[in-house]
Amino acid sequence: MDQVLVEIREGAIVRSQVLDCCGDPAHGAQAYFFGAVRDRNEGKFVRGVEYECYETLARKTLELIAKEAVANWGPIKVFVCHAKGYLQIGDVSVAIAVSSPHRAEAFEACRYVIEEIKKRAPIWKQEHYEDGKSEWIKGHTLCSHTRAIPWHHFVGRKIQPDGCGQNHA
Amino acid sequence: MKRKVCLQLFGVMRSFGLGASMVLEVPDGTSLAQLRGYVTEQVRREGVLIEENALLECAIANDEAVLPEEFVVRHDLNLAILPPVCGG
Repeated sequence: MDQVLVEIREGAIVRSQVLDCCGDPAHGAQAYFFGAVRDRNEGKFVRGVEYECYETLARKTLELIAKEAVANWGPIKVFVCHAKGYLQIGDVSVAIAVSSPHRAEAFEACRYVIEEIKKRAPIWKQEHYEDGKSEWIKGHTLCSHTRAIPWHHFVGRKIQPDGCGQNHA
Repeated sequence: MKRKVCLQLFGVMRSFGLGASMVLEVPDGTSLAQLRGYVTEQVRREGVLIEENALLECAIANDEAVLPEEFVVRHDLNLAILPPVCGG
């Protein structure tokens, strides 16, 4: 593989397909991170998560992050894959594989990539709960200018005849 | 002179009844802050109550990058509104 390989896939990522995505005869270490859909979040029981992404920019962002890892940790190889679409509990939503000559760089680079994805990749998730409700998950703003504004300000409320809003998320 | 700006919507922005995109006609030289204001007005026209500064946390981007706040609209454009992200 090239030093950096990035994919966005429809549906859950298959773990076994990731294991061979990274490696090099000169590399004695391979580190993997798999992110999976949890069955609960903040006390609510989750039945599935819809991942949405701005695919063109997401692909470029994932590639940029992977290249930053290469620049920081030297002769490593990085594979990044993120899922889009509806995933069920236990499904893998993100996979990162890093190979390197020694283990320290592999662990550190793998950690760097997932942390940066969470902060920078234009990807969103909507949790669907057992009670039939759903909710877009709060996240990290990509704006450089922002003030701290509670995200609940942004939840859509239909204007009622009396002028009062009512949550419908 | 007016510029046509087509905005893709993502995440919570799609729950406002606007669909996957919206088209605005804005004056040449519109800043990103002003563009957010026009979007807010459009959302309100759909009957959704959001506060004046609600979109401050939303970045505006094209296919290449998130646009800097100094950006101004000088052409017809295809852009995207990006609410706070939560990949992974």
